[in-house]
Amino acid sequence: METASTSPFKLRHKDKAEDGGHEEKEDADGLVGTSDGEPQKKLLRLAGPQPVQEVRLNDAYQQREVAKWLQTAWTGKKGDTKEEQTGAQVFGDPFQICLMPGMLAEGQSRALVAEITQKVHWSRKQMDLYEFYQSTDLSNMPSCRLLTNFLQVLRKQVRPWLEKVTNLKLDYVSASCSMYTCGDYLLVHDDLLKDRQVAFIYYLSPWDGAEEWTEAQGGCLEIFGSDDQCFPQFPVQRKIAPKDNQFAFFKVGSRSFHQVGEVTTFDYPRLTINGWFHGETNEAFVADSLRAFPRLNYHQPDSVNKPPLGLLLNNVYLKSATRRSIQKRIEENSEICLYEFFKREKFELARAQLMADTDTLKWRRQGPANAHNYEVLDLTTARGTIQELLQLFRSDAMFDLLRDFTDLDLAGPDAARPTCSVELQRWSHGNYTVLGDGLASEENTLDLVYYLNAADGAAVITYLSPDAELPAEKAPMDARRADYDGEEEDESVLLTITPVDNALNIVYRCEGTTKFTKYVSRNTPLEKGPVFVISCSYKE
Amino acid sequence: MTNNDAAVEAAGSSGAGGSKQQTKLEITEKVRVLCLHGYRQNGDAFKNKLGSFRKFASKYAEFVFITAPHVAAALESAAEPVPEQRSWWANKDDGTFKGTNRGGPAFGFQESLRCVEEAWRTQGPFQGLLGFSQGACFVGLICGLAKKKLTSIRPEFAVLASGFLSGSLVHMSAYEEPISIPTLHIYGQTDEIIPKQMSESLAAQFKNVEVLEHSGGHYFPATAQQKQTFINFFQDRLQEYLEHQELQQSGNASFVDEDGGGSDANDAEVATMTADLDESD
Repeated sequence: METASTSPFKLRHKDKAEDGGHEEKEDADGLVGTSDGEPQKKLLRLAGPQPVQEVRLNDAYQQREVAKWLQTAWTGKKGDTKEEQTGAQVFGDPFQICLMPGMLAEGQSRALVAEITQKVHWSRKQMDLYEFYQSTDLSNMPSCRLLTNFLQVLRKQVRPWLEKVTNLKLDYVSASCSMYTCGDYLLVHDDLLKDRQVAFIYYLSPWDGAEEWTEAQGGCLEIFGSDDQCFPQFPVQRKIAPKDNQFAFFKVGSRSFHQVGEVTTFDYPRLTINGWFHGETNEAFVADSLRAFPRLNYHQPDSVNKPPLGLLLNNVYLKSATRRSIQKRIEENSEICLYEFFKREKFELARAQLMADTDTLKWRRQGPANAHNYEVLDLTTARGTIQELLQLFRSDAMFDLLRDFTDLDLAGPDAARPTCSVELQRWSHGNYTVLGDGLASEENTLDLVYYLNAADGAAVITYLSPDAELPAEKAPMDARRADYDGEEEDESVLLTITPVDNALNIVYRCEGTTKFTKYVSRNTPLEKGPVFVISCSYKE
Repeated sequence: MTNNDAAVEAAGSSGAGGSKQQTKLEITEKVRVLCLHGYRQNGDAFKNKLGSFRKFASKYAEFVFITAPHVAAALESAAEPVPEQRSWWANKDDGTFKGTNRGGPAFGFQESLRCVEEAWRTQGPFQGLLGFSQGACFVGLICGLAKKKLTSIRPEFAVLASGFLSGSLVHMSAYEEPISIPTLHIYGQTDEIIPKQMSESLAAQFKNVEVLEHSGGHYFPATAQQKQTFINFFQDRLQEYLEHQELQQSGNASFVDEDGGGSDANDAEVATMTADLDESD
C-alpha cells in the first residue's frame, strides 16, 4: 500500500490488537499467507513492476487540506457543506452524514466487483426487518486479495483519519459485503449496538448507465428524523442513492435512524462493502435498550351499541354445534380460520364503502417508523357498514361470542376485566410492521384478523413462538440468522396468515408470542387496490 | 389469422384491470401457454421450429409466441446486429449473453419482464409458460419472481427446454425458494452449448419435475419419441385446470369441522372448505 509521505494518515506500524491475528499468518517474507497457497504470486509482488492493482485511496483524499476541511465541517455543525476538490459533502440534518465520492483510484471499484462476483459466497438474511445477502466478514476472506486489501485500507488509513475528523476513539473496524437484489430491503433502525461508533458504507456500481442510481431503481440510503422521544418519524428526510466508488459514514447514536430502501430494479444488484468503526461502548446504546415502544390502546366492551349478530354473521356461526367445533379446534391448534364470517352482502357493502370513500374516512400513518408503517382509520370517521362492523367487534355480543368460541373469560361471571383494541388498517406498497413493535403479548391474548379486498402478498402476518431467538430492534449484523418460509418447518414460525376475503382468523397467543406483517414490495401487483384489515385483540 | 388467434383477440384481458369483453369463450377447452424463444431467435422463428411440437399438443394446449425487446449483439465485433436476432437480456458488460457467464447485473432484464407481463395481461388468459435456452432460463426466473409476488405473471405450470440457472448475481433471490408448480424439463444429452448438468441444476429448483432427456444437442425435440410425453403432460395440465375451474364455480366456502362430526344435523348445512383457499404457490 502506497501512501504519500505527506499524507495525513500514515501507516502505523504498531497496529492495534485486531491486526495481531493477521500477522500470525505472515511467513518469513512478511507476506500474507492464504489457505489457497499461491506462493508464486506473492513473490511477484516484491520483485519488479506490479501487474495487479492494489487497492488504494484516491490521491485527492490523501491531502491535508481535505482532512482539515472535513474535520471542521464535521465538528462545526454548520449544516450542509461541500468540499470543492473532492466533491465531498457533509449533511447536518436530520443527523450528520458525510459523503465522499471517488474514494478509491480509478478502476478499482470495477476490480473489486469482479473479485466479489467470482469469489464471494453469499448467505441469505431474512427477517421481519430485512431481506438481503451478506458475505462473511472481510477479515475472513483469505482468497479475496482485493477485499483483504480494502480492509487494510480501512484499518490503516481510514480509521486513524476518521479518528481525527470525528474526534472519536476508533479501535477497530468490522466490514462485510452486502448485496440487495430486486425486492430486498432493510427497514428502519439506528444501528446501535455495543461499541459501534461510526457506520460506513462503500458503494460499488461500476456498470455503464448505473454509476449513480435513479429514484426508480430504489436502494437508497434513507435517513429519518426523530421526535422528542427519539422515535423515527415519517416521511423520509433524505435519500442518498447508490453511487459507484462513493464512501459514506455517520455517527451511530440514538437518532441515527436509516434504512435501505427497497431495490426495485430487476437489472442491477445493490452492492456495498459496509460495517462499523468500533470504540467505546456507545452511550446511546445503553439508553436505547431500555426504551419501550408505544402500545395499543385497550378498551372495555361497548355496552351501548347492540349490533344484531343474526343480521351480520353467517348463520352457521351462531349455531351451538359450530361453536363447539370451533372451541375444540382452538383448543387443539390455538388458531382457526372462519371463512365467510359475515354475510356476503355485508362484506360486499363494507368493501365497496372502503374502496369508494375518498373524503369521509380519515386515515393516518401508524408509526413510529421502526415499528410500523401502515395506515389506520380514525375510528371517529367510521360510518355505515364499516361502523357496524367495527362496533360489532367492540360490543358485548362479540365478547360473548368469543367466550363461546374459545372458552376464555371474556364475558360472564368469571370475567375479570376484559378489554379489546380494534384497528382498521389499510395495507399497500412499502407497508410493514416489525417485531419490536410492542405487540409482544405480556399476557395471553386473542387476536382477530379479518380481511377485505384481499390480495396476494400484502398484509401477510407471521406469528413467532416465544423461543425464537430474535434480537427485536437490533441491527442485522448481529442478528442470528432465521429463515422464514411459510411452507417449510421452522421452529420459530408458529403460523402465517394470508389474506382471504371475508375470512376471520382467530389466533390465541400465549405470553411472549410475537408477530409481524411482512413488508409489501413495491413490485407486488395490487391490481384491486389496498388490502384492508380489521385487527382486534382481546384480553381477559 | 387462425381460429385460435381470433379467439385470443376476443378473450381479452384476464386481469382485474378491466376487460371490456365479458364473454368467456371456449378457451377453457385448452390450456394456453406463453412461449419465450432462445437467444438470437424471435417469436416467429421459434414458433416455426416448434411446428411439430405444437401439433402433438394441439388437442390440449394452445401456444402464443412473443418476441424479446432487445436486439442481440452482433456475433463479430465489427459486424452489424441482425434485427431478427433477439435477446431477453445481456449478462456481460459488452452487451453479450452466454449461459455460462457469471456477473452482477442482467442488462435489459426489467424491460423484458415488463414485455412478458404485458403479453400475459393482454393476450391472456394463460396458464403456463414455455421457454427454450435463454427463454427457459427466463421462465425459471419468472417462476421464482411469481412465488415472491414480484410480478403479475402467475404460471400454473411450465416447460423448460435446454434451460439453465442465471449466473447473474441480481437473479439470486429468484432462486431462494423451491417452486412447486408442475414442470417439464427437456434437455439433450449431447448439448454442447448448455451441457445437461446445467439443465439438471435448473430442474433442481423445482419440486414437481418431469424430465425428458433426448439424445440430441441444443434444440427442442419433437419426434415420435417425445410425442406421448408431451401429450400426457398437457392433458394432465388441462385436467387440473378444468377441475380448478369447477371448484371456483361451486359457490362460497364455509367452515367445516374436519373431524367429520356427522352427529349433528347442522353439519349437513355446512359446505366443505375449498382446498385452494390454502394454496400458497
